Amino acid sequence: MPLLEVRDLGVRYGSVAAVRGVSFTCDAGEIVTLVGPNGAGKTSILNAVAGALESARLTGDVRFDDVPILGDAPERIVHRGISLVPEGRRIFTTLTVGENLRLGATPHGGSAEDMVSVLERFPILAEFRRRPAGLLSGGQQQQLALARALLARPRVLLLDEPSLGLAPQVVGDLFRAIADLRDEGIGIVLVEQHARRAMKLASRCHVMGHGTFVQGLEGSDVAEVVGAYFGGDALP
Amino acid sequence: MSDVAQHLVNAASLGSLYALLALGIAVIFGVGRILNFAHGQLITVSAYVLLVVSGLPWPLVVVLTLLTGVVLALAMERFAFRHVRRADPATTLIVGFAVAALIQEILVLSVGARSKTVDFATSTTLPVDIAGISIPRLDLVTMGVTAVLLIGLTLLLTRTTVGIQLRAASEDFGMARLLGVRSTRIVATAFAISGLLAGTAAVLLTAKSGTLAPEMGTPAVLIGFFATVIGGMGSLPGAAVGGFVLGVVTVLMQVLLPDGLLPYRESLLFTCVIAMLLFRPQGILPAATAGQRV
Repeated sequence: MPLLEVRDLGVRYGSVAAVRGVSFTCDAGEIVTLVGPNGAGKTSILNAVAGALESARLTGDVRFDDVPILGDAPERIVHRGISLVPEGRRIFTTLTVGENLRLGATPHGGSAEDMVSVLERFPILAEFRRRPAGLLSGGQQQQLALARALLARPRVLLLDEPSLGLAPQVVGDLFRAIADLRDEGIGIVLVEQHARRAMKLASRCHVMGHGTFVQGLEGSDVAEVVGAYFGGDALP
Repeated sequence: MSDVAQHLVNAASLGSLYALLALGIAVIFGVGRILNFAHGQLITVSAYVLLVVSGLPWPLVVVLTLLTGVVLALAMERFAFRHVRRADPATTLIVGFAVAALIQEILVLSVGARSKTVDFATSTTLPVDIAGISIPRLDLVTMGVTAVLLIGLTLLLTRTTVGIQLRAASEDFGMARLLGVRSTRIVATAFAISGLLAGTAAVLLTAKSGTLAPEMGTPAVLIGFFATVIGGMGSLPGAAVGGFVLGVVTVLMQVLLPDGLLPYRESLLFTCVIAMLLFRPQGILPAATAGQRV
């Protein structure tokens, strides 16, 4: 039984169907990527799984550990073990880095070991712990967003455009961190514009268009097929 | 010189009271984006409870009055606002009006529409002389209580987990929930704080005027709203600053306006608020808020 199973998911905003009949799974220690043009419905899928779409009409079934979670409140879903790092990071800019991290630990109260482990992974955050998070650079903010999500001890991470707006060097570091998390056994659903880089990490890729999956890809030929789909020049 | 000092004290005292009123409104708007027009009725009901228990020792009177504010605020959240939390702002605004009207009518039917006098803390209206400045003791109490509440609120918001959650929810409620902050608990906490501030305002207003009436909360809540608009809607520091600015402007108008214009003081004050909305709608210290893509 897969850790996360999405079956025939539909998302409607009023009369607009943003996602139609989407199904995929994500197991522990694997990366599943969703790629596609803007407006294809990738963000809506992640938000629906995380419980962040209370005003939308959701259909289908989402199961985590075989427990149905579609429509649950977001705070319940993160307590179960699914964390979302949203597009744009949405860190709390007026709070300090330390306060942002403390919030991330909300589901489990935040043990000292968890905090030490996260700060070892992202040492720059320890240095800037008392600094308002809004003063961090884009790359540092992304590290904070990831660290904050990890403090909830997720078993599945939903990452929405984590490399958006980051310098190429920082993007490399970020993808190494994502690979490390996969190797530690966390299941990751990754929505990413850097499609070729994401493909290298992924065990499966779903290509989206107009709210639905238009192609499912697995294995080593994923990058080649996606390259053909978007045009090789468009891929970093 | 002593006149200037006297006016400064008056402004600080009035500003303190206005800051309490504004904070009570801002803490709920900041977290839940709810404009609670029934905040005035929290003050009114607390004041009537004070009237009922005024024969008891004063510390007990104060505790019971504050407790009334907290319990009534929690009841408002539980039975009225929780059901419309995800509705659009216009709906929550109308619910606020409805709750305010309901409580006011219940008060009128149960205790009558006429004003009542209350014998509570009358000695605090007597002045003390400090460095040639005559200051009513109640003004000192008001400033002291506001200072203690502001310090307490600051410590709560910066040193405790629930305080950090409140600040996070004020900035981006949706993201706070995605991190596991329980929405029901955090909104109820905001209402409880608002109720505590309303109860405090009830004690100070009743001690100041010695009278109470079913409609006494309405002008108080208007002042609170104006102060939050001036300070920045949803910003707690902004609400405190807005309250003090409104207090200073009110006292300045009282002092500087010619006698012929004094009856128009409130009109001029409201004109200032409209000007603020036109030229700096985000207020003096705007709240940090985040958008959310669906």
